[in-house]
Amino acid sequence: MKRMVWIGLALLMAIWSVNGEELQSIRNFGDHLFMKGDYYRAITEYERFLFLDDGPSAHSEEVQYSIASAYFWGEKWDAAQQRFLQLRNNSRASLIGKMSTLYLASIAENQKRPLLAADYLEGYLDAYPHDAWSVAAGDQLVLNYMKLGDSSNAKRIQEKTDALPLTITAEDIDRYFALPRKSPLKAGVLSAVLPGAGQVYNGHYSDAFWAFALNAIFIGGSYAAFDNDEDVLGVFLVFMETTWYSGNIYNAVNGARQFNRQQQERFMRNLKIQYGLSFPPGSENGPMPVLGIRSNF
Amino acid sequence: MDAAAPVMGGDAMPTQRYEAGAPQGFSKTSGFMWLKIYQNGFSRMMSSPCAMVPSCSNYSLEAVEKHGAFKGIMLTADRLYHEGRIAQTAPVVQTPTKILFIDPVENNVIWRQK
Repeated sequence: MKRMVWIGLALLMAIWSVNGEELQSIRNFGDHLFMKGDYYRAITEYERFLFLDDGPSAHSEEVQYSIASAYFWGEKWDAAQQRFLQLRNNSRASLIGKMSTLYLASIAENQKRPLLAADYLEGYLDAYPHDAWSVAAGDQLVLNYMKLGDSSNAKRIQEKTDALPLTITAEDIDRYFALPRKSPLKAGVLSAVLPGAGQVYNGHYSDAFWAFALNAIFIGGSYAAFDNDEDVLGVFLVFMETTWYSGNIYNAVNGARQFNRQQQERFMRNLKIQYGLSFPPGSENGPMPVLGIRSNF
Repeated sequence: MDAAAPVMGGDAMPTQRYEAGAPQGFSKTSGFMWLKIYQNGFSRMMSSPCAMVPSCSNYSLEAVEKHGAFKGIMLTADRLYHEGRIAQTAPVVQTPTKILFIDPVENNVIWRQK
């Protein structure tokens, strides 16, 4: 009888071991696909892992994290957000929970919701001011406020004494807010007065040439048509001129906006290169399916 | 994000034609009609001179559909004005035959989007 029990136990162990090995290879294959950038198929493998896994464990949370990361790097923001929210709510203070908060901030930024991103990062810094990722979170928050044009909050975070000293300095913030800017209003008004003038103000000379030339041709054409009693042609040319004229004003306003955006983006890019900033932390090495906390079977 | 191009499936190719929904209203309908005539007539006779993604006519269709006739026409005129300049700074996409410059409608919308 005793022997039968031992044989039974040995059989169970063997089955468990095969299952464990199989699960590990499924996960490894998922990681392999992830590293190749084939996120969709990686998610399928991770889902297979979760289906075959006996129950919730440390491994299943790590795999959930890999799925969320795959959605993130595959730029499926809504699905990634849903997964990371779930992970954060499960264990807010764990490494996965903390990193999920940082990913949620990054997702919000990619979704063009900078205020939500700032909320996540503010919350993170309040909860973990001396954490290993606090500096990265603080730097990102400063960049976020800089993008929002909020110099006082950018400086508040930079000067926060209870957090670790940030990489971005007060001088960087000052230099950012002193960047040359073009006024969209001024550009629009100039182009309304003289087509092409706003574009010259923006330094976009090819736009200015076309704006002036097209408006001159259509105004001249309309005048000539009415002068020669070609009323139908005149009305058509006036209609066309209206679109070129309004487009010219729009182009001047948009050009000023683009000028400002390019200046800001170039500054941010140089700042990131200069200090080696990356967000979420660790992303400088490219997409990773795990957090460096992977446990072995 | 500087990651490699994500592979998630289902994304449209950059050079595909914009599939607009059924337009509503006189100005939208007439705008669509002219653009379709251009796409199916003149555009096919030329050797695709537009080096942008989406092409100018697709851009116009998308702008009119998403933002209405008035704003759509302004966006189109703006695209035609800045087409030559934006090629110097826009991100590029490589197709088997040529290099195209990416300039989506959303990049040029100056009002708050829903």
